Amino acid sequence: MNINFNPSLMRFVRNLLIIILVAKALSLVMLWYFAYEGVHHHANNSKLPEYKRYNANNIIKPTKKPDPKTASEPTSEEAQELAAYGPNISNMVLKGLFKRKSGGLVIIALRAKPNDSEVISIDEVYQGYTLIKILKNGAIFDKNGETFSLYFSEEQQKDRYASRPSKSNLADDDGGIKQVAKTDIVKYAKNVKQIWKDIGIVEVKKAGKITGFKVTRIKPNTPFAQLGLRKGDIIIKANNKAMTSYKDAIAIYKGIDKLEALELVVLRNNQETEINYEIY
Amino acid sequence: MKKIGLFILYTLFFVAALLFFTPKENLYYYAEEQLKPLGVVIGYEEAIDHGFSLEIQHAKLYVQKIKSANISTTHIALYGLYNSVSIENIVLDKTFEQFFPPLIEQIDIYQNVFSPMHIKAEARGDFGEANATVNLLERSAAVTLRPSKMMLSRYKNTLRQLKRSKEGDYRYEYKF
Repeated sequence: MNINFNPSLMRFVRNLLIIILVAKALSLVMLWYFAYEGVHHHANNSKLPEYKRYNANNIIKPTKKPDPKTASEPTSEEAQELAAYGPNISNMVLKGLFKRKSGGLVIIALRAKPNDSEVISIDEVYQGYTLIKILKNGAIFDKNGETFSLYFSEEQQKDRYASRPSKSNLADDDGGIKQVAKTDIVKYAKNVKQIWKDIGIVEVKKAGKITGFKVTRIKPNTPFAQLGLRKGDIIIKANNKAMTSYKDAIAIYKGIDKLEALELVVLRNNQETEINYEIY
Repeated sequence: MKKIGLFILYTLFFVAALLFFTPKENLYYYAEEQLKPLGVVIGYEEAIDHGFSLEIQHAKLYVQKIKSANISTTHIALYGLYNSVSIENIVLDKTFEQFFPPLIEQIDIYQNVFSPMHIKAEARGDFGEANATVNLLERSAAVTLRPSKMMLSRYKNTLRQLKRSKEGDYRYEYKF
């Protein structure tokens, strides 16, 4: 068999192949020069600043403003107990506090400037005083190894629960942070079947891999209906952990009773939406 | 004449082959590394090499460690003679809602070989429409904004930072 190739066509094809080889070689040189992986953002477990993780509705604060002229004296038994920690800080005023097992925060201001409030959490320093403990009716500070206390004035004591909302309001949305009762979580943990009666969730797969969990139905008038989730939402992250397997979902479910805050990222109408919860 | 024609053909073929083989994902990661010292981090994104262009999906933009925006899709096309970056659906973080409408539908940034020291950009979104030019020689940038009704009514404080022209546009100029 005798096959005749056009020599000029062969030369043309050969030159194209050489060009491809040179281009490929150059790209390999570039590969060596460029970066192998992208820059990652390292976030804390919660992206919210600490003061934002609390629902302001839960802060105990008197409705009446403290009188800057009146020094707060411990009159009740609670206040006397507080005073036992150390002398009162006379130049500051306690405007509100939020206490929980793992810490909390206080809202304080200088008596001379009562409107310039600061939010201080445990171990933070204000005017040289380090907040070391939060009690029901006041806070304990440390300065140069000496302990000081700061508490609500008598007038504030009488009034301090006045601004606290009723329990029924606590589940409402407040600036994007929703309230979830730990008792509800415990109830569902004991009765897993009830979860599937109240909410329908299926996995979402892309190229054979789980990319999230889709909410298919939510039963009205159940705790799930209060969570801010909607039918069609795809939960893609929980506390910055991508939900790419049942293992990830179960890990969150198992540890939820230990959490004090939960941040869900859901895909809603192809847009990512964050839902923040405070577990009380 | 035939030789010149062949030379042009081979050159174009070489450029096309080089564009195709360029490790675009790695080039993008390299650009990310250059942005990091400026406090700009693009995270959680998925980079897809389409041969002659690169697509970045579901990126989150952090500026100085603050989550600033979610970016749905970015198309990057670097053809040498004509380069463009098209960004779709930018949703600014809630933190910025007080200053700027959260949804930017599209930003197109382009540069061509006939004017290599000038970069142009067009954007549209809830804020209205905007054009921008960057002069790399003079190290200056100018933005012209035609605000929407929403921008005019809700974001007056932001507009006060800009210079109003007789035509009703708002201009912002700066040197870098």
